[in-house]
Amino acid sequence: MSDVRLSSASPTLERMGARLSDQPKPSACRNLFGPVDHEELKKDFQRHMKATEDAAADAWNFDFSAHTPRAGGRFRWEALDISAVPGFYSRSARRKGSNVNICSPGNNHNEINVDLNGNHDCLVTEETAETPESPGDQRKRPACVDSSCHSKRAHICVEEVTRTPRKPKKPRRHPSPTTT
Amino acid sequence: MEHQLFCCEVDTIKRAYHDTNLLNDRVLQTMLKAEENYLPSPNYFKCVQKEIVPKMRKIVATWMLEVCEEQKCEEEVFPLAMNYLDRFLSVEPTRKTRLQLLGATCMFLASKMKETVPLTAEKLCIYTDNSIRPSELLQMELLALNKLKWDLASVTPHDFIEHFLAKLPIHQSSKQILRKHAQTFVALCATDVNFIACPPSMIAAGSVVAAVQGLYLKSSDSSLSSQNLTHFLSKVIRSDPDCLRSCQEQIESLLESSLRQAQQHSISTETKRVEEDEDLSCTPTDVRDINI
Repeated sequence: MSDVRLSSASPTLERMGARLSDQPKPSACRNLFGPVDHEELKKDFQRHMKATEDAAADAWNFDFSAHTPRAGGRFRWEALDISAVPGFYSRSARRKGSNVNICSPGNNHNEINVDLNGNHDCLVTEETAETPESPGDQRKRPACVDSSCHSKRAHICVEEVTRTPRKPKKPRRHPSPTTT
Repeated sequence: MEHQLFCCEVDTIKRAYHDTNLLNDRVLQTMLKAEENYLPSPNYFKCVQKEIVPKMRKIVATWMLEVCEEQKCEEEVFPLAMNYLDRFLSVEPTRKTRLQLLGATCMFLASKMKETVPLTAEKLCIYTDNSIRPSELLQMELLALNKLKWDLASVTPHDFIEHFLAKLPIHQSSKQILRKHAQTFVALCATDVNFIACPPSMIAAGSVVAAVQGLYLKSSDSSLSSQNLTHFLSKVIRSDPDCLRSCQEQIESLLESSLRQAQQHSISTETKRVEEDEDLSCTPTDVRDINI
């Protein structure tokens, strides 16, 4: 279920159908500024990701690559038993069901690892802003599990699932879909 | 007797109705306040970028507009994508060879924000003549999101146009064409570097005034005269009338020069233009379709 909702925010192969009639015209298909150095680009992306992860680690005093808390930050991390956290944190855990939640599954990707549909979910580290102290929140939360969630909401939820939670104390904000 | 089944479902884009309750002053004031948070730095070419010059922005913008038109994106997608592009370039020195990747990424994001059926990564890559790969686009997306601080809810000139139209004493039938023209001006402004630092409300107001002038719209009283309209809208956006007037004039001269360029272009590529005209016949998203 959550798969379906997640994909509604990003174009999946199935959804291409609606635009199939508008195949790119050759005239508009052009390379503007010469060839891209793919190797260099890859390296730069890795560098950026590293910087992002470091920033996140500092902000949360949590080493996301090693899945261990760091000492001396503003948060105190403690492990919770899976049964102590609401069911939706474990329901759609895809990787493996571990009982101790501190090492949340599916997070040990240093590499940029995004599938072709733009779903970043396989590497998402999610913190909920209300209770940053609770490590139980770390498990990837399936964006909008309940069926009452409209696709617009799902859209938002996915965008909220950020790798680098920046402002831990900020109350969870539902960005208004668009300013109309 | 022969029974036939009709399938009435078609692949149309579902849109929500315009919520007129949102066209109130409280919302407008909030937007005026919010728009400042999404303004790119006006001189990033000098202060941030080493390789990228204004001419390249024009090239990538023209390409992006072409893609958006061809894919029949919602009108807001292009200006929104350009806002992302400018905000990214305001903070991140970027290689020339990656500018198109950035442009594609910004369209990708803007399309997801505004459309029910967004552009796909694969399709955008085809538009770059496959010079970038979908995986790169997605990584760039993540980078762009980080640089934009995950704040994609930029206020665009489009958001203001409805508010302004609601305030004008114009018949409903003229509103549609006025909206189209104003939107075209907005898209045109998004391609031009001189409008980078211009607040969206100003661009929207200037575009509406220019569109009213261009269409020779008249009202029973003189509220639609250029002077009165400029005065009125400048009050609405809490700006100086002279500022708005110069913005409007800038838009008009931009249109003029674009038309001139387009004419030269059309002489050189006559056949291509015929094709384009067919596509654009219903929506004047291209300046060439405006008769002034």
